[in-house]
Amino acid sequence: MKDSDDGFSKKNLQRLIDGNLPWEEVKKAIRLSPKDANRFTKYLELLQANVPWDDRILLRISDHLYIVSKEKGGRIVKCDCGQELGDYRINWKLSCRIYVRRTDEEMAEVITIPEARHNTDLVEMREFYCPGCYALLGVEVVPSGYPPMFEMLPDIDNFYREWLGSPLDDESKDWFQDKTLEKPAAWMKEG
Amino acid sequence: MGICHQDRTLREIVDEREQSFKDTGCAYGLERLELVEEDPAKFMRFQMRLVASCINARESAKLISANPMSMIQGELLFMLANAEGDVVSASYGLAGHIQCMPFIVRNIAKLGFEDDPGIHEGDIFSVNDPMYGPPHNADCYTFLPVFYKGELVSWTVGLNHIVDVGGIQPGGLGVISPNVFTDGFTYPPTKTGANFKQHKWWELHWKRRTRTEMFNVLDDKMRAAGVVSLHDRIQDVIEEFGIEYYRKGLKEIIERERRILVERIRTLAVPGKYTYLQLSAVNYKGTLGRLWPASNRNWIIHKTGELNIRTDGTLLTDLEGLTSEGDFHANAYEPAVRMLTSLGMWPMFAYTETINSSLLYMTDWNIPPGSMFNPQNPYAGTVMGLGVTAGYIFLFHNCLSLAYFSRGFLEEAFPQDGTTIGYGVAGMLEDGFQWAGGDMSLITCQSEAATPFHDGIDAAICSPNPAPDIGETEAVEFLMPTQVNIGKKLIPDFCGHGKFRGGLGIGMLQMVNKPGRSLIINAFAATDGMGACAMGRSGGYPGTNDIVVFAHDTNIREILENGGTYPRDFVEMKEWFQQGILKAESVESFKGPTPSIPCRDGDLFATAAGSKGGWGDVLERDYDLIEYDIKYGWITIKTAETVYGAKIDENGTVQKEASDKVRQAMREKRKERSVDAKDWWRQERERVLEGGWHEDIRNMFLDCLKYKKFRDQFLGMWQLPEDYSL
Amino acid sequence: MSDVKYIVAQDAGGSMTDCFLVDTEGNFSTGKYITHPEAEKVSYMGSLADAASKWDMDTRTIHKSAISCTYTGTSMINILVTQGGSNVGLLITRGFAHLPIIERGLTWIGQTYEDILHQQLHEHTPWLVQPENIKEVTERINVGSYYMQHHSLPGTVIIPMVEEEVVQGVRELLDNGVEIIACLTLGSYTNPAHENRMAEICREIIAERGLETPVITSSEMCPVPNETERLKTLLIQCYIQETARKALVSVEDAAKQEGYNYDLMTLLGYGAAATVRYPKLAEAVASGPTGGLLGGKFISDFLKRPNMICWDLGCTTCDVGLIAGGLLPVNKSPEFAAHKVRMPMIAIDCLGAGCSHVVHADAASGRITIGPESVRADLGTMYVSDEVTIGDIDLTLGYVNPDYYLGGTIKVNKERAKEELTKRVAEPLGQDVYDVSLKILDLLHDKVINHINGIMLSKGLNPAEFTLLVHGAAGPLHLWGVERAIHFQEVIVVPWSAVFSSFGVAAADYFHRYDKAVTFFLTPDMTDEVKIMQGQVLSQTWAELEERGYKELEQEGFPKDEITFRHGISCRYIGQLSNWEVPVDVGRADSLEDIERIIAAFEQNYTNIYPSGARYPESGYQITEIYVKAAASKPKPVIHSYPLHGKEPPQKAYKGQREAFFDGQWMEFDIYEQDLLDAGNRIEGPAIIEHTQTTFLIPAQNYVELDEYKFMRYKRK
Repeated sequence: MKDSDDGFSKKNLQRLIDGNLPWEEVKKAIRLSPKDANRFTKYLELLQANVPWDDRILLRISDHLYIVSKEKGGRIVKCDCGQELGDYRINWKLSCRIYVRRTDEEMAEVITIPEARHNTDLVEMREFYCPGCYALLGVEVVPSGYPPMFEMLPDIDNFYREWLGSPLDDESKDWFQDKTLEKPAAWMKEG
Repeated sequence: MGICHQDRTLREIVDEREQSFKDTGCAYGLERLELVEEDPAKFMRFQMRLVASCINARESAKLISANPMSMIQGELLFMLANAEGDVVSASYGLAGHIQCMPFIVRNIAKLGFEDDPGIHEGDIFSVNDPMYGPPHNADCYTFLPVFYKGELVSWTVGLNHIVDVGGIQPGGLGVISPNVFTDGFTYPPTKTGANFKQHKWWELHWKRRTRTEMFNVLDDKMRAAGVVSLHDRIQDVIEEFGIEYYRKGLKEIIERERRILVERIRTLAVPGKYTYLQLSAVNYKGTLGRLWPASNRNWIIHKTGELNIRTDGTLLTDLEGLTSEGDFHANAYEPAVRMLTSLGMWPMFAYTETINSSLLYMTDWNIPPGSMFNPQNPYAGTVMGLGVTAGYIFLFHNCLSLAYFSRGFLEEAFPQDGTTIGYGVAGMLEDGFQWAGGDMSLITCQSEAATPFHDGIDAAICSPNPAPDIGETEAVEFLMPTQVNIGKKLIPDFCGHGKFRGGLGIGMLQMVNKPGRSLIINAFAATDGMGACAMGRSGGYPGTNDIVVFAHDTNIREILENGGTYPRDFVEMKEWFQQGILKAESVESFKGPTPSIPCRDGDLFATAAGSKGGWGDVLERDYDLIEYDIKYGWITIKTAETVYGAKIDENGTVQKEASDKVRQAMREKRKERSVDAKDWWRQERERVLEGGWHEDIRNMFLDCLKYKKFRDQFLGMWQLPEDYSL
Repeated sequence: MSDVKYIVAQDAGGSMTDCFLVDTEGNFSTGKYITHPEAEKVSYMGSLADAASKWDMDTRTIHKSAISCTYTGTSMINILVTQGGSNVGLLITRGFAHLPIIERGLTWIGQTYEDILHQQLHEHTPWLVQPENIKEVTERINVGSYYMQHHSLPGTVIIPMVEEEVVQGVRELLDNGVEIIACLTLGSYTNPAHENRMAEICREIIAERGLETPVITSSEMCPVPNETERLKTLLIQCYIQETARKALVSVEDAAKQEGYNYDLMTLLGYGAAATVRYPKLAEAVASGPTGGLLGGKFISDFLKRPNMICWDLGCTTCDVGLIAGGLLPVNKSPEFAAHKVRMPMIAIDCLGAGCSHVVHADAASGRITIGPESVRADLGTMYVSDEVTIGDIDLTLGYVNPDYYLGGTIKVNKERAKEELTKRVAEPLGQDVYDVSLKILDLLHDKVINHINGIMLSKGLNPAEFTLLVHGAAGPLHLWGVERAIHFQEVIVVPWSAVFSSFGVAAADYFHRYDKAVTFFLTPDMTDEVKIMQGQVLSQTWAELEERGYKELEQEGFPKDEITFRHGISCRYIGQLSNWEVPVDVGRADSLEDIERIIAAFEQNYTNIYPSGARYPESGYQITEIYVKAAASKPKPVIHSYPLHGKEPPQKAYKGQREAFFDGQWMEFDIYEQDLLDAGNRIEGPAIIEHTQTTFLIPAQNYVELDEYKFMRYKRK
């Protein structure tokens, strides 16, 4: 229905997500002003329908990863394959399987032009895989010893309360805290 | 008695501007937009008149120029500011500069220009000294006060990127300069003209202090002509709408646009903290010897940043952890940071019919004193600080793209990477004629990075200019006849790979032709073997490196005389070397900027830029897209197999089942060679404790650890004691 | 009557094909017919029949005694839009095969300022040549340099051409079945040797294979600098030429079958008429709107009004053209359909607005938008379209007479228009259908107002010093909305305004324009000998172009003594990258005096545009291009004057009254028949002047006076 679509249909949104919305339609979407106010709702409905599990999606943070709220409480990062990667306040990369390209040969597998490759004296290429489906979730090119980068810590409570006008029932000041460092601390204890 | 409204001084109105915003959170304390509310149509007409005036000033003035950068590649901007310095409209071109004008006006106000040298009708002022507002000395500003019945009501401003700034390296993009004294011709705000005409003495400075006098003189004439014609048009607008409407209207433009921008963020984004990092280098070691001992070293530039999207819709960018100031060319001041980064904001949320400086009212920055963007040494070199500040254009592209992706506005997600190459040349022809020049073709037009829903478009974007234009080879060669272009093309496989791939990097190959007595070339580039971006997107591989290759004393002339042909890009050139078709006495390869390289006839000079990142897992790339790439040769069969796990048959079609197997095997391989995070952490921690870093990286860490935020992260991640030191 | 001759001129727009028919005494008749893009001869005949019928004649009679038929079609733009062009092959300097794909990165041409900043919207134009049909050739020619004698001179060969590669390339192209071959080498404007040799080899091989594949070089099309612009021009020529020529020739055949004895002529973008066999047919690609401006030029000369704005509002177009100081501005690097090309073209600004433009109402956001799409000849829900259009609104508000649309030849449904307008626009927005209709017209008028203001302003001109000439089927109907907001010196509507563009086509001069790049430097320290020597080269080049003019015009049937020439240069201060085109009154540069006069013309023109501070004579002068216009005489319409009658319009012209909704209320408008009004009459608003092809609305605050030519002067009371 036009009214509920508010200028951009759910059907087209799905095609946009799938990467096969025709360019002419994409341009209309880009020019759409004002944007369809209910986009996020439509987005969540489609995403929820596309994943094989039932945890409520609060936010999508990459092609495969979602922040979901668990029945029994808690908000975690979950891969669409069902694999869970822990509390969203802890960098999900620390719950991945990790492979590091340190040599030119290893880099060559993904950068076939030698001149374009990274200088392995300076940096390494880290790949973060989902332990469930082994999808490549993230890539970093940094010096060894560089702390893994926490791509995004959303302020979910304020987002739902102030911007969407539909506060979540498990609100807490504590949700917008970077807890990444608790993980290495725990690992340290475990020894 | 001041020259501004109600006899206030420039100093007073500039202070009021800042105070009223502090007090009310609205620009000029405008809680109501009366003119807009009264008659929106009229207000729109008013705004469009201002924009049209700026565009026209540019379109007519630019024709005067001799400089291909301004003439063909559009490195040129005209704008209109109110008396306080807020820019209310601008032409096409280097839009970001609107951020600088408020700083320039604030500075001349604080310097007391109103009393000495005085600000009068018809006075022309010039400035390119970054300490006072301009981003770097290659961007020369010319500005003119607009008076109405004795009251200062506006400034008309013109600026462009000149070909040569007279630094120790030719061109406007020097990458070696230990301090301001080697930056070249750098002038603080100066009254260079009166009665709407530049003084004759001013021309002498261009002739004596820069290498390309003819271009620079014509550019100066162009800027002056533009600001004068804009001045006259603005007088007409004031006549038509009345001075009250004009004065008030300019302020309402700023506040109104501020509100629109804040609303866009709230509509498209998700509040929170977003991380960004790019690494590049400054390599002086060995090039400066004993003359500047403090500069005889290398630096890794740690371009870290955190974008905070606040609940009120404003943005705070925290640069704590940025490399400290140094004895190099790459320092910058806040205006340069705001100027260039705004270029990442236009496409992401600040697009409008009427460019203006309202961004200043909704973007905050934390730039620690002593960092390279807040140098405490007054003589800090800044000739190419833009190379580093440019890295932060992409902070906005990337962080906001992720936010928009999360919110469901995939069509607005537009991540980009910092890749770009330009070069300067200087020489003496056979008959002793001295000349110099520069080329920005691969800066003013590059290929795009991938988005969440399609491959990056080839040759479609210019990070510093909303209107990309690679220019015309015939025009460039007319000005630089010593380099003949034998290739200007897309380079297969030259992109960051992913489910969607970056557009193909563009490469140029040039043959040095009759350089005469001497020719030196120095290239500027955005990467240094550490890639265009430290972080891939959603599992895509980040953009790779800019490339410069010099092949000296080749046998290309011989080959051509014998009816042979020539390579078209650096990839072919290298293959030809391997096959022995092409020979060279020496080959120098760079993954970033170069020092000044002397060249001789028959040398080959290759540059390539614009390889940007992919989006998503390569193993999820659609087979049809791969077939398309194979059909047109955008991707080689080798790459299709090794990177994308696609088996291609002799007809160039993907064997789907075989490929599915290959991809499954590649996933298995991922499983085999990857380790659990905890094991990785344990090993990585060992490395850190060993500390066997490359000297440059070690120095980078030493510097970063001076900043609490990075220190806490680093120590926390590796569980190191408080007193830890490398 | 049998010795009377006729001139036929037609302008096929997106919706309507207009016909202007003149006899040798200058009497004229006009016709209209719905455009058939797929079969243009149908609309050509239909439109001519309509005009002829008003003289109780048929097309056959006209064609038998016609001495010239000129037709500007929509075919060319359609070919680009529908991507229905030829399969093109390209031979290009090695290393530049991607030039057509990179297309200079100009992915924003024609976009609004906001969209240019919103870079997500950047896009390339569709390929005019498929990558597999681009073949590279080793070769390189020096373009010369700014440093002149200090380095290589223009045109020197740096890398000799490898002919085997040409042979190989052509074979592959022909194997791929290309229909036409384009050749471009860098620097060919300084020395076409390599391009010419390429073409030679192509033709040999084509001949060997017994084919007739045409071959075109960039230096034939436009021997001027900037390879990308030159390439675009060349590719567009190749892409559209054959298809477009077919369409035009089919029209010609139709005319000849009825006894027309000459070549059909068409209109070139720079305002000249040329036969449909003219080689550089691409120059006609954007001639669509040119007719109106040529008509304007004719009127401007006729009435001695050197400053004129010509505004054309049709079903699908809204074009604004400027005549300043009696000159038609020529744009040498125009942009259209997002392509930037290098061919002289009369400067006209187009805006997407017209009567067939679709009206959208967004209930959610409460926004109303017009266009960008147009239903063209389907007109709207009043006719065969299912989209609500501006035309539906004009009808619903009572401005247009439903029983008199195209003189009643087209049946339009006022009731349906009103119903659909109510259902799709008024109700969703919860507004009264008539109120909302007026708001939509305000939007349309604002669009046009900003457009005109923008154009004037961007050239620093003041409307109060300009005469507004209104034409197009819908111009007179919407004039009121625009004239209220902008104050012009005077406003004129000619009796045949509905087919004004075709009038312009009839009024077009017959000439060809030849541009050529030259190398001519004049530095302060230069000796007179060198100056004279260079001057002679100029003279020589002018002479060559004149020869070409003679040759082509003679082929087109004009005796040498009837051919006249006009000369011009593109000049700049040495170092500048732009040129300024200046007509010069000398066609030779054999003496220092001649040279001084040429330079003086440039200085004059330059200081007209820029403050004197922008002059730079110290650096010397460079002439980069010269042109020759070779003109032949051609019959033109004559405008008659009529004896002046009284202010009171004759009874026979009065058609009674009609209620129309205007300024928020219903009011009675007097209705008049335009053709029955006399010179000297004064029509008081509120009134509507009807014509079979257009409707002229005059509000209560305005009136109209017919001058001795029956030109309608629109004035404020």
